[in-house]
Amino acid sequence: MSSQSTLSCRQAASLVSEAVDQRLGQREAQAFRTHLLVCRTCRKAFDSCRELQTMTRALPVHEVSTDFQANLFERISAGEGARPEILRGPVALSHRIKLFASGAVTAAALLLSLGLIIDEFNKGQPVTKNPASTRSASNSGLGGLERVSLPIPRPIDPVSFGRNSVENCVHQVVELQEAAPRYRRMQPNQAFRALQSKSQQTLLSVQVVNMLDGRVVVLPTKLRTGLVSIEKNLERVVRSARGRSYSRRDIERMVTLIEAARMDRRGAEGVQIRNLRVLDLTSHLPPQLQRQPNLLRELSDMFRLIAGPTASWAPAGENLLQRHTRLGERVLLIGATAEGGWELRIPNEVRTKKPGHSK
Amino acid sequence: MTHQDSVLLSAYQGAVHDYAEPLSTFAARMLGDDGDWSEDVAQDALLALYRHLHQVPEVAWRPWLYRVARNLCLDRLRRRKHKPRNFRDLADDDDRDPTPPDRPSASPDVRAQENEMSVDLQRAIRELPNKFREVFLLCESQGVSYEEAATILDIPLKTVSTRLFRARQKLLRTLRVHLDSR
Repeated sequence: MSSQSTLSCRQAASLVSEAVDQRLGQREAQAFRTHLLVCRTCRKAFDSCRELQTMTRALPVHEVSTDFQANLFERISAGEGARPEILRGPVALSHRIKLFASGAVTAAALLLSLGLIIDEFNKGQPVTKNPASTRSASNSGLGGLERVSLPIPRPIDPVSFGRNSVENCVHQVVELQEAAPRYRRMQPNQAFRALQSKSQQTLLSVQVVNMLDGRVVVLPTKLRTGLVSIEKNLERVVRSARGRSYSRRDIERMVTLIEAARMDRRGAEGVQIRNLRVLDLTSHLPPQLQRQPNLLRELSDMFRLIAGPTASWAPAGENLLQRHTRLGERVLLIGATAEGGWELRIPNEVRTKKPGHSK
Repeated sequence: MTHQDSVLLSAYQGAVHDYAEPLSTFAARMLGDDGDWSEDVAQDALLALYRHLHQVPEVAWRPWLYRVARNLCLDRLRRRKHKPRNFRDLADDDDRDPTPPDRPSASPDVRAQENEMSVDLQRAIRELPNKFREVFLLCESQGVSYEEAATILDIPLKTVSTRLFRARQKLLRTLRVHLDSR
């Protein structure tokens, strides 16, 4: 190899594949060409790669039988692929926003589950299973065709979902703050249990909205700062369980924390819905959802049905970025596309810095 | 049926015509010696598209179809792994490999060499690990761009490039004898 060449043989070898596909940048391509002029070995490697490409493209096409189309349309007319309610009916709202087929199912299921959890926590009842996803998961033993013919759960409109979440959250915060003074007059232990439970429900709603902020919705500044401080204070309230009995001082501290955070109630009217590219629900799953093994398993089964047999879903914690060192594990990302649709992304690796590596 | 539906259905008929053979070819090479199923895979993928006509935007049909076909192939490969081998599986690979049509202008020696090479290349592709094979087949054989392959396989663009590079290296190592003799 000549010393005038700007690339080493090792560097050139790594560029051969992209050079064959003409995917090198101008400068790289120039350097690569210069290297080939002076290096016989690399030139031979490049020629071989090009030869391989020619040979592969010359491989015979697998011709389908003459009755392929006839068979297909026969299967369709036999009702195997028919969805008359969709083909004959008016185009539904969910279709107008062009949901990407597979991602829509999972996105809807996850969002529905989040919504269910919020609703169920508001009612103070345990989370119920989504019957649609149960049906879907039960198909897991069937062939690949069934995988793509899953019944689609009720699609969720991200606009109304975002708006309802914010309204629901603001309502809960206002209710908690208005009710807070009453707890001062109650028996401390009784007040503590009520405060803990109510704060936990409200905290979940606030966490969901703060998670959606910047991803699905854009909160007005005053409301955002208010909700961030409320989340911090409510976390302190929820963490404040220290013993079996509580004094009036403990209750006073909790009530003060709840009352301290100011929030602009009218801010909910100025909420905007964003047209965002990526919404990572998994890394922001509320802990309550993570503690629902059945629901997670169900979503996970559904996800595998959609994403393919080799995909695996790692329900990651809130602090995914801080403690995730298991590189190569797949993580589910739900993305809202710029066109207003939903899509499913399963990155092959999650590249994060290990704790302590940052300088 | 509304006007929009009829437009969609006619586009679908066009897609059946356009994608039947590419999908079948892709499936045949993905499945290797289980190539008999390739037509079924292509048909199932197109049937799945029919079911989701209103949900998959027309521009996304091609990657969507390849993605479904790929998943169906992986399903079949996975099942076959746990299935006891039967006589058909033990048949000589060469018996079922379609051979390229001979070029009339080529001499008998050249034609024989090319046929042998083509058979060896197909065998080498079959022996590639799934993750390399699917990238190689999509980009090299089906003419799918790196970006589209990344969407179909749901992997980063750089991974497509790396896997394609490795797949080529493996194939070149296997086919070195043929290439050196040229």
